Amino acid sequence: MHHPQSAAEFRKLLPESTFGEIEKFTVNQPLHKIGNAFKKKAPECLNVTIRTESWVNNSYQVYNTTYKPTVKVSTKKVELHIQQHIDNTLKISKEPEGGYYMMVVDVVPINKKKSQVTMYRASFGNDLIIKSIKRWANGKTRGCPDMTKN
Amino acid sequence: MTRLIALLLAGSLLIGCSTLKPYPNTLQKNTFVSIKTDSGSMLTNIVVAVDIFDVDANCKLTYKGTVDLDKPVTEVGLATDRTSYLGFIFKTKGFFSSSTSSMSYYTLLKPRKKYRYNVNVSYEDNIYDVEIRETRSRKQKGKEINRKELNSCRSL
Repeated sequence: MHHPQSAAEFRKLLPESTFGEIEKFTVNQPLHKIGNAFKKKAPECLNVTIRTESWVNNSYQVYNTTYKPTVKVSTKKVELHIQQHIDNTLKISKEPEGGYYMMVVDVVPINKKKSQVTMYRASFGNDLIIKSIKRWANGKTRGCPDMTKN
Repeated sequence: MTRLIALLLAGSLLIGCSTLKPYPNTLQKNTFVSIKTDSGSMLTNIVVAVDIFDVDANCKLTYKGTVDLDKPVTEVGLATDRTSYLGFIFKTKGFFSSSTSSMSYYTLLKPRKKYRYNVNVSYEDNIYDVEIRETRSRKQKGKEINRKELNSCRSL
């Protein structure tokens, strides 16, 4: 089994994945505003480690999930990459530095006032991250998703 | 980064037994924490607390204690003219589940004398927010204090 080792590879391989989905939508925000929103909110909200504890079949389980966001901004494009690393799990393929890629978001300008957002992601799960990224892209920058519920 | 993660983990452990070391809260009250939550679900319970650390000139942290945010408004006395590191811990637990999870929001704050700090903590629709405003009077809304990471402590 092979997992993408870069954002570019993630974009390329996602359409071949059974549960991959590419979502496109337009927002009434200029590119630079979305770039500023991502630069502010992604580190604030997504640069987190979640500790989960549970009892399953008389077994106490603890694991940490660490998310790593990366934002790249230029005059032509804004990118948000999100990686995920889970402690103490058996890795069935090589894990890129920072964790497996779970989502890549590209934003390009349509004109001075509108931009197109493309989300490369799984077709299920991560609802709160998706909701938050859409809020940020639409200029709503208060609050962060509870990543324990994601 | 490793240090921060260690802190996050420490915070999540601390909330698990937050009454182990309550914050003494003996200083003049200058920080007023309002909390507004929905549980996000009828089947989920949420508990919020704030861990308070002193930060010295070398950015070294000393844990001072934890305040449970179990009232609509909690008054806290933070040392003025020195930096504190505040960790807001949102801990969720399912009523019919043994699983618990905690989210943390950490920020540096250097309260000034004669100022008050209004902190609005919310957790609604699975979105959490911590807004800190600095004001000279009760009536003013004041200016928002942006979140400051621990690695910026020398610039405060």
